[in-house]
Amino acid sequence: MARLRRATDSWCEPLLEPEQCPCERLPDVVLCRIFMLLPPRLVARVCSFVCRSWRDVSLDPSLWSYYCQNTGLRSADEIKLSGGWRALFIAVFGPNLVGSPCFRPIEQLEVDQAKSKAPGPWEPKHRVILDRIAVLDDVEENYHSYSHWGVEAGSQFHRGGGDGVVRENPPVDCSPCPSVPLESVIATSHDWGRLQHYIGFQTFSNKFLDQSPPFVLTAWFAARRGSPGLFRINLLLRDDLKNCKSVWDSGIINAKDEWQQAKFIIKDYNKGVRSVMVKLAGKCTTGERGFYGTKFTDVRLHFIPICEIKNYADFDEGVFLDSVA
Amino acid sequence: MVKVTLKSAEGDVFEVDEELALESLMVKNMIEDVGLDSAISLPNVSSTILAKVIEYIKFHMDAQKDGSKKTSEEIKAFDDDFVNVGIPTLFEMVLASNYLNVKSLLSLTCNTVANMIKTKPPAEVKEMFTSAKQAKA
Repeated sequence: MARLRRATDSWCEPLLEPEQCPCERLPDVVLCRIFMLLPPRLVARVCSFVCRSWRDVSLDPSLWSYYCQNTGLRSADEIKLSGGWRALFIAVFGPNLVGSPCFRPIEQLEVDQAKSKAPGPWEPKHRVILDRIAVLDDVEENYHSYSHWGVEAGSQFHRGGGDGVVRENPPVDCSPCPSVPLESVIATSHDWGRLQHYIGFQTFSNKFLDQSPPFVLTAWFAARRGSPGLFRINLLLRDDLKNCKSVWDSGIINAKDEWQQAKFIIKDYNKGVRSVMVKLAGKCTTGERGFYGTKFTDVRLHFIPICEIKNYADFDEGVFLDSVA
Repeated sequence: MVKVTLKSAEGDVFEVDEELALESLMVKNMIEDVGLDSAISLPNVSSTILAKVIEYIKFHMDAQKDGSKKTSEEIKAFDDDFVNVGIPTLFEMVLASNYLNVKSLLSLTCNTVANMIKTKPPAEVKEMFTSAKQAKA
């Protein structure tokens, strides 16, 4: 333990040299203690860049095993992943669980590849489906692309029904989304236009999932200029038999001309969730024909460690519905 | 009341009550090992910092005594004021409380540093902990 020895060495020196950089002053054990009080994201993204000794401590396995405590992650999980506790923590809590946050279509050639690809450990499983999302200036009327998102299964989708959705890039009659200015957005019409995205946790350990790790769900939405709209998010929590155990609902949100970010935390749900279905829906309130409904994009879904809930105090909690909405 | 003599890095001598000195687990161990006859030398703690640490322990011991009229707000105000110092001094206090093994002061100072990191925008964190170097040099 070279690191620990250095910490004790400094105790033996009478008084520290004044010209030493202050960030280098703290012994690693103390620095580690301070990092334990911080959100892991901040330690990985900010503290590790302050100086060399902070970086060394920010990679310390004991620090990351501390963060993994009470999350249901076990040493057995750590061993499976090269890179140890830090890699495990980042694999589970780092990535966006949503396959294509901005509804990017998947090219025909990639489809088979994507369908046959087996997800790695702690990698969410997505479906690739014929999405039935139209593109406004399409020459071919019946053209639909493949993507991770699909128009809600079983909906009475038909031309002129008002529940159609369209991919827009750039957004029509609306500024680009501030977080992803170059990406596509989905525009809806005069009835609820719904999209859904399946995320399976087959490669996650049951032990972890049964701790009911909280989800953080965010999405950007805006109304088309001069056409106020509505926006709603549902999250279907499903068990291993694909039965829907509970439905979480954001409630109906009013969309304004400016882009806003909907921020939700979904916690304290029943254990036993093995897959989820993210559902987004938008419409306009004026009933006008054409795609005048709410636009949305940049959908993110993350697991967060239970100990981090306090850092999401300004996120709405939404409600759980008894039956499927 | 038994007194304990503490000697700072500069050689200044502080005479404190034994009860107060025992709050430092490091001093407690020293007393158990070598007894009270000679001064306990603390070569890693400067006089100013040692004075501050003694002030901190004294305040909290008084606050915990029966009949103390200090409210929790007053204690919090004292703590806030106590750590409202520059980064070099704050780090000095972290080091001293770690060395002397004063648990309550160590968690107070560590929390203060953590809050400084948490509340600052990422770009400023590095600057904050490295620029103090230029200020001192």
